[in-house]
Amino acid sequence: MTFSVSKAASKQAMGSHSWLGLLVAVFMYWVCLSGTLAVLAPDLTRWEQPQIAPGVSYDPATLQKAYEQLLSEHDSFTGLVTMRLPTPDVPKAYLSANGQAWFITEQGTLGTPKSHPVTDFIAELHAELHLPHSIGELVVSVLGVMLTGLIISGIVAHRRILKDAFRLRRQGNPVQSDADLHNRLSVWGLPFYLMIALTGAYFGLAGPLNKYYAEVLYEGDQMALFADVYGGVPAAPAYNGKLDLPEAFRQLHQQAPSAQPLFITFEKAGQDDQYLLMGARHHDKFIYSEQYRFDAMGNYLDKVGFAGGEPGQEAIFSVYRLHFGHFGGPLVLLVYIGLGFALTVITISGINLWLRKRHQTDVVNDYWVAVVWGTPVAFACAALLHWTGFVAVTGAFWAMLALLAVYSAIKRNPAQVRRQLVAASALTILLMAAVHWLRFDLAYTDPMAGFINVGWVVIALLLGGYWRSLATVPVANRG
Amino acid sequence: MVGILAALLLTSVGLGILLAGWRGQLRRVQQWYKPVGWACIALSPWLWHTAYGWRFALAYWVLTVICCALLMTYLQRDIRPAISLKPRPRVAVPAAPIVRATGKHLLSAIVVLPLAGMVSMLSTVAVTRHLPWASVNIIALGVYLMPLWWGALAYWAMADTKRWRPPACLAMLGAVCYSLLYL
Repeated sequence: MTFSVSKAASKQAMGSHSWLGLLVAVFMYWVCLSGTLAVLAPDLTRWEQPQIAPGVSYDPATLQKAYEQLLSEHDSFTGLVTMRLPTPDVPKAYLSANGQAWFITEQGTLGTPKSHPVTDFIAELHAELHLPHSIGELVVSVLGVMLTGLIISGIVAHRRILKDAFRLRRQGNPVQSDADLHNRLSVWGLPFYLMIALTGAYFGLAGPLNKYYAEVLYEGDQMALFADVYGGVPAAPAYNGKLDLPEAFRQLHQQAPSAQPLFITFEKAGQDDQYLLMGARHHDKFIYSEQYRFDAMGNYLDKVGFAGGEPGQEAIFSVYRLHFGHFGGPLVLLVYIGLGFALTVITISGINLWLRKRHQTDVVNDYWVAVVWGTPVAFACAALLHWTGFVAVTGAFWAMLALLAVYSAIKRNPAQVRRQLVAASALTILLMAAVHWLRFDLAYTDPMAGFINVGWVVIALLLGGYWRSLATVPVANRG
Repeated sequence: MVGILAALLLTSVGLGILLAGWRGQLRRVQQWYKPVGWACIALSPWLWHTAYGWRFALAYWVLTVICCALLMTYLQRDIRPAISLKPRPRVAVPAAPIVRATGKHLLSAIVVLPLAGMVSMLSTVAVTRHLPWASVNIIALGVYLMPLWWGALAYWAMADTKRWRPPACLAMLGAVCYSLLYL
């Protein structure tokens, strides 16, 4: 088996790889690191509100009571009214409307407001880099495209891709060591990263692309395209004033006995022509859900067809679960976390390689160390500061990160700052876990909070181990 | 369960054969170890599929191959004695050379990357629209194809040594696609 790229093509590809990498490295690092944590977003929300008991059983009549309470307490609704049904991965029912959400109690009342600012911070950093929604989503999608470009240029640049398939030199020459780490993680993980890049690009780029497709395939009628892909508005009979959720559940079970109900969207909530859209998971497919539609009296109308319709619809609606690894249970989540972290390490080691090849140290090294090792410190500090009740997580994070960048630039010693920030990361994350535990009187109603806290402690211990190992690295190799 | 274990075993055996060959331990079967190793890996999705169906089989296959390969690479890592690099001098950031060195590339990226994005969108739509498929399937193909095509164009545009060529070619290709779509 021979695979060879000419030296000239490889050199050009290396140049392209370097420039693309340098252009996006900082943003890519934030997106990859936050994405690694975002895989656990549903579990992190449980960590933030561990006083809410989990449970997967529910009575549709009780859920209806909660919805009717919402209708009685709100005159009008902006946006969707959605009810998340309890499932093993998200074992809490809640109702969202007008930008707020409430957990549904066993008695069918609206209970504790749902609030998870730390998870929101992570999710928004991953999805839009805390930029305004439409711009941020586009920027992150373009990062997905650039990751594709990096993958292609990396393959062409790497002439010994098969000869070095298993080579991993550790310690020794730090340039070789970093290069091996960067290349092995990149090459073996390539199919995963390509999938992440393409599914990640979808979220912000599907809109503009759909506009062009609407023009050429639907004579400019975007609503016709949306109806074809996402399902049109069903012809629902007029609401007779007798909402019947239990009937909708009964009829859903008749239509799709093995589908697991996930959520209900109340379309045109409280209006005469309101109808229900019930999302249900099909366990043999990657789609987030098939959408079954009912009139407000609970009579089945139709389904959109993501599960059994055109393959294109299924492909589009498989993006979310494929991107976040929400299939296959905890083992798949752990693999996604591992590979997400690997992509973060690839980003860091790529820039470290470029920095090492410069044969000089300057302010770029200072800022890069501050970005890489300041981010976990700033995150943990932001969470701790937020829990004092005076500051928002996002503001605290960026202020903290800016301070650390200034500190690193003043210190002018990236090796030393790196070691300090690794230690600070370990300590602040440990402190975050401890304070969280104390905030909830050393007892969690939801066991998931305990697992997540153990996860934070493990991360802190690993960082502590890394901090110790840095002491044995020759000073000149650390930067 | 048997199918899952067999799939894991087959993947591990395939990668193990490749690793042993790579380490020079299979010299007597030099011609055969690569095809046999890759064949074992290529066959394992069929075993996954017996337990989970094809969609999940492919996903689990990709994830297990990656995990097994990285684990094997880690386990046979070569730990070498640390070499101390020559300390690198600390320099102030000289603005002019940095601007000179990076300015051209930055300018090129600012012009060429959005242009590549526009061209990839137009060309994806211009080509895929002619496929004899339902509209929703064409759109889905475009959704997955366009970022890949944009990434490839971005790589080429940043790799080309002649700075004028990528914007010129992209502008031309964009014009052709636009005329195919709208004129």
